Amino acid sequence: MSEQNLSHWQQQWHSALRLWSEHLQLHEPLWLFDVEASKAAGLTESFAAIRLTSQRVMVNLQEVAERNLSDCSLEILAHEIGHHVYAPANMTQHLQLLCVIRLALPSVEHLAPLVANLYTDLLINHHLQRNTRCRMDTVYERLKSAGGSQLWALYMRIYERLWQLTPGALTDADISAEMEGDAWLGSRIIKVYSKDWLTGASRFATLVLGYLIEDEQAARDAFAALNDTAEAGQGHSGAGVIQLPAIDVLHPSRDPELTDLPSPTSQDRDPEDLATKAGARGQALEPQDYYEVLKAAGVELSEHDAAVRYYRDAVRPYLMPFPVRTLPGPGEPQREGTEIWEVGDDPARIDWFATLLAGRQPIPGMTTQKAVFSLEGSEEPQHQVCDLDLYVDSSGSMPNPQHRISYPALAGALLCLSALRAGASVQVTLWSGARQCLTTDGFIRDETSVLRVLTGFFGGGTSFPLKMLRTTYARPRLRPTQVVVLSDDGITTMFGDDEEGTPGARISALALANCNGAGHWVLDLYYDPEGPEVQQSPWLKQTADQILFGQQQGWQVHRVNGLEPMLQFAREFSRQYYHADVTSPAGS
Amino acid sequence: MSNLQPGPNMRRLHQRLLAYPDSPAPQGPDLLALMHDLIYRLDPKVTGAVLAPLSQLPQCQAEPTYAGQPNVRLLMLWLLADDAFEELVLHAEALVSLILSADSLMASSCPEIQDEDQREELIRLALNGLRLKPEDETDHQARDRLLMVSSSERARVVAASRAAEERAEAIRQALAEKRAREAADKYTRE
Repeated sequence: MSEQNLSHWQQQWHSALRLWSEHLQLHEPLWLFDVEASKAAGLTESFAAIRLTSQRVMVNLQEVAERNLSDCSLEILAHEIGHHVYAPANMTQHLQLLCVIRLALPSVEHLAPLVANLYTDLLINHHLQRNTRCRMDTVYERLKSAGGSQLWALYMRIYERLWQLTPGALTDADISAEMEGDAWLGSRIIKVYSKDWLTGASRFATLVLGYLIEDEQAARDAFAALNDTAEAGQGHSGAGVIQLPAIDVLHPSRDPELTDLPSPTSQDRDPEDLATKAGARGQALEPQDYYEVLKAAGVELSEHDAAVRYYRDAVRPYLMPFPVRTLPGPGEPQREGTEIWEVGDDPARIDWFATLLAGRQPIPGMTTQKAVFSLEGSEEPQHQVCDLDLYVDSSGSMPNPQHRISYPALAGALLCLSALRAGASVQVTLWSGARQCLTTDGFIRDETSVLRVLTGFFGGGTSFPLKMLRTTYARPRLRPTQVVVLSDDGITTMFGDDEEGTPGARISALALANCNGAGHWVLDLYYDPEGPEVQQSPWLKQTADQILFGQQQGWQVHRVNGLEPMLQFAREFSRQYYHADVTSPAGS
Repeated sequence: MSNLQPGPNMRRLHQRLLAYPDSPAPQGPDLLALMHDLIYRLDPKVTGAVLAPLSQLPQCQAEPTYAGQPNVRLLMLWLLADDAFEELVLHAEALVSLILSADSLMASSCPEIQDEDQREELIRLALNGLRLKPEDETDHQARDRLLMVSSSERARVVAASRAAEERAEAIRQALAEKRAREAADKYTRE
């Protein structure tokens, strides 16, 4: 690649930007000159690609030349820019697009990135072909021999129809009557849903589903070179629960917006009925789907880390307000001494003099000191922030928070984040059967560590970690602590004996006495322990009796089996311990 | 053999239709007068006898029956009023025939002008009725493209696609049921 050629591409870059807008500015593409450079940049199969997080375009100039596309620089660059400004344009829309397509691809959900790429390419190329001087058809004419799959033939026929090209201009394949109909529908989707393109994506995915099921590998091979959005989400670390747009899953031949034809007369073929069967939605994703969608977008993340992100983002709108403190009038702050500065505290509060004076190596959270001040003349007692000690039941009867939404885990995440935001420390213990216990390193202030334990899952037996409760509350806590247990009717194992033979009821009473705060059971119960239905079953009655016993001991019992009860619990908790009247989500 | 006369540019005609005014459309005698003027402008040799059938149209009666969304006929009149047609050699007989048959040309009597395909079909039908082809198109391309956007062709291809989808759906359902039965059998065995 000569300097002259590079200079030509650089000039074309500015022309391509202007095709979309006079005011558009994007980083100049990453020009890749050989295979090694392309591999290093993560561009392996296609000759161009985008990264939504860095808003970057990458072009493999060697591959472009080998495919005889060097004179299509404007078309290639304008197309890549189109992914940044039109479809999908940003990470949020990209993730929504993948969600919508996954729903329309039962059994081949893993091909959603490919379908998303084909669909957005159609949108962008049609716009460029119709409204600019770009000759997108030339690019596909050059790639004519690239594919032999049925999906390739359909895809090319859609372009022929969209751009009114002579049949056979882009594909030599025999086009059956059915494929001709599908191609017509494909072209209609692009024209009709060019603005509401998420709905169009669902229709398009339904249209190509049969072709993908028939020959998945051929479809993958045929489009490898064009797959420029496969890793578009690489490096994504953004926040936000993905909201699924309310789109019905419907074959385009049944969409009156596309065909202008009457709906089928058969009763079970009514479009509304079909849409309902397919599960029309308009809500947030489940954690498992959230992870799958991130993975499909090229985001490298473990399932557990995805769950941490999911719960953190899900509770963010509902975070409780900071505690209201009653402070005396302004007085002189008086230094009283020092205490350990912990990870999560404001770094500006580290007292370096005191830390170094101790004569040890500064280790954050271990030897780092912070000054403690009091206000002169302060006579009124201040409201002290309560620490939070959370016990999360992770037995087989509880939902796996990494797979589907767990309201107890959601309640736990809300309490943890609210407590950390208020300046409290949090200890989380995940428990299931004997020796299945995972805990934070004591009371800590690190949000991610707390959420990682909270969203873990054992799925084993049920045996409350009495040892943990016993050791934590062997002596009275200096700071008031709220003890919260997230469980279902497995909570009754708290009243068994511990490994030393101490009765659980005694440990429970000791914990309530020494926590200097209060104890709460947040239970995912399908029945009311005080309701009449428990009388029907001896087992239920026994469980309900033990729950009532806990209540008499001082545990406050909250039933949480949905979003609203969970919020209700959080509001009550906030009102009681933070002196705040939470009537609506924070920030709303 | 070329027998279609080169006509206006397609993009221009699309723009023309998109600019259809929101104001109430002329009706009754006003509409008749407008059609007479238009045809005279496009073919000054027109005679009264050629124009006579237009007065029989329901919309041209003293109490017109139509009021509301523009129909194919009104849209065609608006299209033909574009200056691009003045430069062409057109015949009043063809114009009258096109206007009289406008109602039955498309599947919908009131097409949606925001829909690109419906606009395309209306424009191509109008040009074809006047023995014209869009600028820069061959006769073959013009005929082929008209076929691609025609309502009847659309109905045919959609029916084929729908039938294929029904067959595929039936197979998918049968496979899903088979998988469910196998899973149930396996669960029972275990």
